[in-house]
Amino acid sequence: MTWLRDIDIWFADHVFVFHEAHRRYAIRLVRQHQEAEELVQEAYARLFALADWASVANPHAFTLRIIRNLAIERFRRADVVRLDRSALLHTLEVADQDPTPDVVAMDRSELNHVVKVMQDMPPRMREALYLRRIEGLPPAQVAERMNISVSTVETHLTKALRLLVQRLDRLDIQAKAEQAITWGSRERQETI
Amino acid sequence: MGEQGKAGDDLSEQAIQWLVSLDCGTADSQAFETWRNADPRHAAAFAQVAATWRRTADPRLSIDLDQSVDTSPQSAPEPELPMEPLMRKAVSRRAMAGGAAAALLGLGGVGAYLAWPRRAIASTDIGKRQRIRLPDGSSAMLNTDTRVAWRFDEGRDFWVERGEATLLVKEGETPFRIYSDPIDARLSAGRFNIRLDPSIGQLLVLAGRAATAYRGTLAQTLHAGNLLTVRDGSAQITPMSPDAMEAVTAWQHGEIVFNGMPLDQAVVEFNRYLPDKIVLQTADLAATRLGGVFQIEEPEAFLLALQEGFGIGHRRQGNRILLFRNRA
Repeated sequence: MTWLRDIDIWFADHVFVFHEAHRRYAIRLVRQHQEAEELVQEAYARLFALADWASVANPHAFTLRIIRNLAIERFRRADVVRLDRSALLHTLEVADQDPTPDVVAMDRSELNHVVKVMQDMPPRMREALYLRRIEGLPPAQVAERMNISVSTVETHLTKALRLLVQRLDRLDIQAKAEQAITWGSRERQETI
Repeated sequence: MGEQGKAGDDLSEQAIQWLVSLDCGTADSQAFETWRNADPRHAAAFAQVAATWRRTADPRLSIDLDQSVDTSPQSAPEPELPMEPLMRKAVSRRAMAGGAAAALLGLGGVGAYLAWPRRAIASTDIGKRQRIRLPDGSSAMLNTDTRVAWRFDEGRDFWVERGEATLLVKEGETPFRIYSDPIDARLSAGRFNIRLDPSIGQLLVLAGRAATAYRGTLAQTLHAGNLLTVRDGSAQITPMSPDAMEAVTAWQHGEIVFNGMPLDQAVVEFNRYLPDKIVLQTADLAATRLGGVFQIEEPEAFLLALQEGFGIGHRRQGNRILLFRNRA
């Protein structure tokens, strides 16, 4: 799998696991969902432009800081300066001296989300994904087992992944909203 | 703003198509690299989709989905077990080859097996765990300080030299056999946990069935929920509750579960994962019972819980961690 680089794994394990925290932080800064998600995406893109990503001590806090800097940039360019936000930008400074604890495996609730999305899939789509990902069969064997062509397997997998990306995004937002905790207290929970 | 949001969805869609076609080997990988390198936003979109894709191969999913989606060996009525024909075949062959099983056992220790050629070997260090995929699609998760070997050219043979492993066995043409000192077994499709401690061997059937032999004698078939313990040459089969089975395999997600276990045993259990061992200073602490779920990788939280819950302090001395009762 040469297409999965070290930076992709680093990103998945040290940055993307905190996606919800990034989103919430951005929302506090800009008070608007769509704009917040743009900030997060822009920050992620900046990470992939880094030459020395591996030397970032605390990727999570580093990402928060990029988000904040981007918010300040937008704020300065805005036509109407909102003082309340200006104050907010300064109170939400990030301390990033401490390394982030490694979050290697996804937590139980995230795992349950994956299970739920997979359970709700049409059976053939789920079967293709199950054989490929959990049983680890090569696509040709998945095709043989299901008595379909490899390109149909590919179609099933594409639809399955699309569904996962969309639904997991929503489920994570819901779950985190239900927990109704601030990003600050979540940080602390994760270090325990 | 709205347009940028759309652009984000669009990138995500492109990344999904790239990823699946790469996975299925139908993508032009050079064209992909060109796309990914064209813009860090592309790289970021791809990495996010890849992170989601990785979540679908979490070993724990097979457990959850086996129970909820596929035919579940644990909840299905016994006679309808899909692996029944395989087991019957295995057992009848076994009867024929009863002497052969004993002969295999007589070969003199697992170490000798491992030295045989044409075996793949995997091992983990103290405190580590690792998942390995076997040639037939079965897989094994190795716990701390574990060493295993396998050979799949004629049959499906798997050796456990030391430590602990959970096997997820897929159905196959040939019987799946495991060898260890002291337990040997033929496994149906299912899930099994085998653990070797000094002088004790344990095989737990989480799902499926196992025909076992130990120290050269044939024993009966183990069913899901049965734990076989072989100690000093004598064997005992104990039924396990779902909670107890959950506790046995908690290490797979990095947890260690104590259900009222005496402190001395709990320390032995935690020490399996620690390069620096915890040592009980005074014998009167040993019987203190404790419960709780701890993270294997965070022994400090365990030590802190002992301090706060039981007034048991600790100090480091060389490469040991000494426990003592705080004086009021």
